[in-house]
Amino acid sequence: MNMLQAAAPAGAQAEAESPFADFDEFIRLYQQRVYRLVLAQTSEPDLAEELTQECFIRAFQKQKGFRGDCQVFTWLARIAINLVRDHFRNRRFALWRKLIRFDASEPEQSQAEQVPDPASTPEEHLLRRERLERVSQRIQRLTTPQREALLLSAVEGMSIEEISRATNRRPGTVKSHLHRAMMNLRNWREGEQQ
Amino acid sequence: MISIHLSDEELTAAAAGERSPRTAGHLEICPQCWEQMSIYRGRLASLKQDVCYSGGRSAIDWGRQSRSIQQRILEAQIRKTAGRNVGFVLATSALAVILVIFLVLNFRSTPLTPTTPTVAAISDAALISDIEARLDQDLPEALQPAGLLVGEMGGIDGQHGNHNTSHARTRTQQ
Ligand SMILES: [Zn+2]
Repeated sequence: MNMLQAAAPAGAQAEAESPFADFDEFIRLYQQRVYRLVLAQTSEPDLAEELTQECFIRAFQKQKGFRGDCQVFTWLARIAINLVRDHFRNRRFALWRKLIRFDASEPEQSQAEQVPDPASTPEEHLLRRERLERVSQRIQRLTTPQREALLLSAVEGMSIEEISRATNRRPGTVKSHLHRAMMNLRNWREGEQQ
Repeated sequence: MISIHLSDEELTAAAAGERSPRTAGHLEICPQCWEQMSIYRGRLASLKQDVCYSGGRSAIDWGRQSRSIQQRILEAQIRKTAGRNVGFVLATSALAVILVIFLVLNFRSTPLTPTTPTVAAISDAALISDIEARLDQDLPEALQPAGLLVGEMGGIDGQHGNHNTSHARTRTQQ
């Protein structure tokens, strides 16, 4: 069933050729990549799902803003990265607010993390969880620009130019962040092996 | 001759698929740099494996997420349309209220003193003379034979000028 065909803005022949012409298919095509990109940055499955959904809603609303001057996934990754950045900015802000108010209530994330994946076996779920923790340990010690550059390069196979577009940073800066991320990863792995 | 090896930054970029002619040329002839670049590439591949595995879910989960996205987009569309309709209703209501206020104020500003009916007090005599004057007007060409006939009858009746005056007189006598 194609739910979003009618909801999408109807238009000229050019729109039929756009990647958003069949938005349901667009979701199916890219949701896994968006999800794992967000998950690797947040290490929280429920949050990653929420932000992935938000990412597609934004993409649907902003589809006219896609000019086709880059790969559609680069454009989508940019939305996802901005959402993650906004989320952490807001969370930091919320944390400060709590500290100022001396509010010691439990952060909502710890509850969300315990929701199991209903379709996986418990073993699978555990293995995935462990692997995610491993990724998280390796990734979380990087700065945000390093993390973004590394994930887009390693996981999505994006070129420096594409990462530059997705992160809104200059190619030279991206190259430098990628290099530092790699050095950081090397140091950490060498530490792990000792 | 291999004089200058590639820097770490160049090797990282090469591992990420970015190769300038110098890098590509050097990698072809320098096994050391090639090995180092392969190590970096291996790290990227290992990270990719971990991320893909930890982000893996069943087809049921992807289907559920896909439906959630579709649902949320439809809801957002409905909210947007409803918002537009509410805006229209509000604007129309505001316009109606303004119109009513304007009419009420305008009604109040007109003087409430009772207006006297402007029926002119015309006397009967004046009214009759007015009618006579209208009847004295020349008859249209088509009615002139009839007028002559009436005139003749009027002559028999007492030598009066025309039917109109006789008619008027009859009325006066009444
Ligand atoms: Zn070399």
